[in-house]
Order: sequence, then structure tokens, then C-alpha cells
Amino acid sequence: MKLIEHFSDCWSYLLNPNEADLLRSLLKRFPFGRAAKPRISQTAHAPGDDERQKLLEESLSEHRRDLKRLARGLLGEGQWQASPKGSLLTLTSESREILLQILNDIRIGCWRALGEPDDLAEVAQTEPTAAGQRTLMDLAGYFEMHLLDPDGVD
Amino acid sequence: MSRIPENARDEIARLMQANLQRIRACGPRNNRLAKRPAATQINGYRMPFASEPFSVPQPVIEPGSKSADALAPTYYVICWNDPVNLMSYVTHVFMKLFGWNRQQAEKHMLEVHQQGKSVLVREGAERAEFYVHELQKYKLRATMEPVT
Repeated sequence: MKLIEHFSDCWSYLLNPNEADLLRSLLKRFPFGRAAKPRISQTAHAPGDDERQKLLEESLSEHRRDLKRLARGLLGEGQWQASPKGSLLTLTSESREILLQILNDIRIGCWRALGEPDDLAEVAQTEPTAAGQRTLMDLAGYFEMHLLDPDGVD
Repeated sequence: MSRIPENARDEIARLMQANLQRIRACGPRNNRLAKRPAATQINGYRMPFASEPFSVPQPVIEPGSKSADALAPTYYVICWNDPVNLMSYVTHVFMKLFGWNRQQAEKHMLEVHQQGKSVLVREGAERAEFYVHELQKYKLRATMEPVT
């Protein structure tokens, strides 16, 4: 996956056929797992925390629903163009941010499914489910890194 | 333009009359005083003239009192470390959300990575809440903690 063109609000990435299939399959799997319970504060019960906690949970729940809808949009034909070397994925700045959030949501979801290990290297690769989740996590990270490729980005 | 109260008009007339008598008593050398009518008091308030310096009474500041802004609680927005978010991703989120350049964003990212957390900003409750919501939408571990 490579950023081949960036001007104004337009980002064009070239993906080889394998990358294009893998990214599409990741988008189809979203959302992965249940969302974590967020915390507005680490401090034990500061004034107003209950209401803020509730607002945060509602906001993130709604946001995840929006991301699910937008993930379907990213699979649409308008985003992808066939190219001799693979597929061209064209994103606006907004859709690029959405894709980043979706990929990171998948990555975090897989990590939670693995039991939130502190050291990813300790995750046993022999167990098929764990291996599958670790692969998805690494895939999501791979696409995140290439979306944020510093060559011509930010 | 507001009207001068009737009782104040009488007072003004009386003072003007008193000034004229005083000037006449002093003689011709002091006639320049005639050009400068005496200050008048209306309802206890001394009305200034253009040539006189006028000072606004200074407000009395009670010790220990603070402005409304200073009394409002403020919060630190803190980003906490985790073993899963990519460093390039965290840097990007900080640049996007706070408008920082890469250097500043990386400084905070490295604080999170090496020290376990970084205080990103200090804000009022509403703004701090907004930042926490946005950071958590990106799946970063962010909280707001009261400034003590």
C-alpha cells in the first residue's frame, strides 16, 4: 500500500490485489467484538463524574454505530478504482480519519479478545483463535502505518 | 440627555450665586476665577469640570476573592500508555486534535510511552470533556482529572 498522490483534500493510495482484498475483508468484519467500557476519569468519584461518564458512554456508542455505517460506505465502488498494478483507493481527509479510527477499533478489539496482554510477544501463536486475532491485529496495524506513511503525509 | 432634578437645579443656582459674590469680594485681579465656575454637588456627587482631573473611585478588592474564571474548576486532560496503540498513530491523533506540529506531538507521545502518561492540556470542564471524547473516539486511553 502506498500513497501515490495527495493534494488538497484528496489522498490516493495504491494497493496491490492482496492488500485490497485484505482491507476490504477488514472493513466487512467491523465492528469486531464488543466495545470496551470507557472511563472519563481515573480519580475516584470527582463531582459531576457520573453524568460525564454516562455522556461519554453514549457518545462513543453512537460514534461506533456511525463508524459501522461509514465502513460500509468505504467498501462502495466510488472509493475504489481498478489500476494495472492493483486498486486505487481515493479518500478525503475526513474518510481517511474514519478509516484510521475503524482500523484502530479493530486492532483494539482484537487485543481485548486476546485478553489485553501487556506484551504482545507473549501471546501464544499455537492456539488457532489467538493466532487469528493476532493476525487481524497486525493487519489493521499494517494498514494504519501505511495510511500514516510520513512520505508526503501530515 | 437626562434632565437635572428640580432640587439639584436650585442647588446649582445657589452655588453659582455664592461664587459670584466671592469673586466680587476678591476684586478685579481675581476675575479669572469668574471664568471658572465652582464645582457643584448634586445629591452628594461632586460634578467635575473639564479642567479638573477626574478620578474614578477605585474598587475595593476583598482579600481572598477571585474572578469567576479563577473560581471555575479546571481539569488536566491526560493520555495514558497502553501496549497496543502505534506510536505513529498516537502522534497523528495529537497533531490532528490539538493542532500541534510533529515535534510537539511526538514529545507528548514519548512522554506517554516512557513515563506512562502525558498531561496534554489544562482546560475548563466542558473543553476537557470534549478532548477526552475525541481522544477516546480514536481509542486512546484518555481521562480528565481535576486540578488540585
